Amino acid sequence: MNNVQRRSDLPTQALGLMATLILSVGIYMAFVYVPADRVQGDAQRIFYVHVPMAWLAYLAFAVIFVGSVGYLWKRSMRMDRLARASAELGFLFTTLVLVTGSIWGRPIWNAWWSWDARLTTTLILWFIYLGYFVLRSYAGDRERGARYAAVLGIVGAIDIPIIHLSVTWWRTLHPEPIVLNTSGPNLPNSMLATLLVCFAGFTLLYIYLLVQKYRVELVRDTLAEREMTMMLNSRPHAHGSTSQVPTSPSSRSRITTPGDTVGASED
Amino acid sequence: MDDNLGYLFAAFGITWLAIAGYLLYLGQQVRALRDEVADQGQGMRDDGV
Repeated sequence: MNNVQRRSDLPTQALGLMATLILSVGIYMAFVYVPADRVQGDAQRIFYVHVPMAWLAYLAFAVIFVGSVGYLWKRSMRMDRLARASAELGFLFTTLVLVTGSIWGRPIWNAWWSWDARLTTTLILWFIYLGYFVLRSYAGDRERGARYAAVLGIVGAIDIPIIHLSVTWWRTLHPEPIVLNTSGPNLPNSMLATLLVCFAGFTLLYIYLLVQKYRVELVRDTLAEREMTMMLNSRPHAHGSTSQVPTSPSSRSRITTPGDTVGASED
Repeated sequence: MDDNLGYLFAAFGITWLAIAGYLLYLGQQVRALRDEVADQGQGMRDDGV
């Protein structure tokens, strides 16, 4: 890794470090600082991981929505890549919101699952994410897959406000929003502070993972383009032609994991 | 309510294991792509491109 690459990775590394630090504080606050709920006991602490997961499931889909609109409007591969990167993260966080919610429901409702409006609409979101990957895989060519997925990314976004408002529209077992409601946050200061710290930490983690995943997708796209160009160049009729494999600096990219760098293409 | 501690640790444990697993999976993708970049670079040099 050269010095230029090392310097350009610093903001991402700082982001990862900040997320780790804030989440460490969040875990300390959730387990030690904040008192146990009088009614729900320690199970209520699941709230500090469950609610941020729900927020990230919404946020990831909002990013997919923006990426999908951008792709359909401008045919921008960057926007498609952004949507693709966010979809994988959204799927992970939606799975976690369902799992942590189910674990909370067992001691509180005495049931792992209930066909309650909030739970059902969240499960629908999980299936929308799943459908997003299936559409890309089975569409045949990449461009068509991106187009179909973008349409689903826009139509599927309708589920986000439905999930959020489901607890007010229908009679449900699920608690009503206690932070994002019209009368403001409705919980003690210590709980609100802990929740906000967890929100901040998990949001930074999401941004960090999104940057890393975007870079992976960028290198993957560049490699696929190069492979296509090499195939075209290796055809007998292409010999002597002026077509070249892209080797310009713009086709070189770079992806990193924590403390790791791979040479390959810039956006 | 002490029985609920098991549920609490399960929820946090699963969340962190899933996130750690995803980071490992992302790392594997990076390593696979790094190998592919190296192979392609070698192929291009062999072809004299």
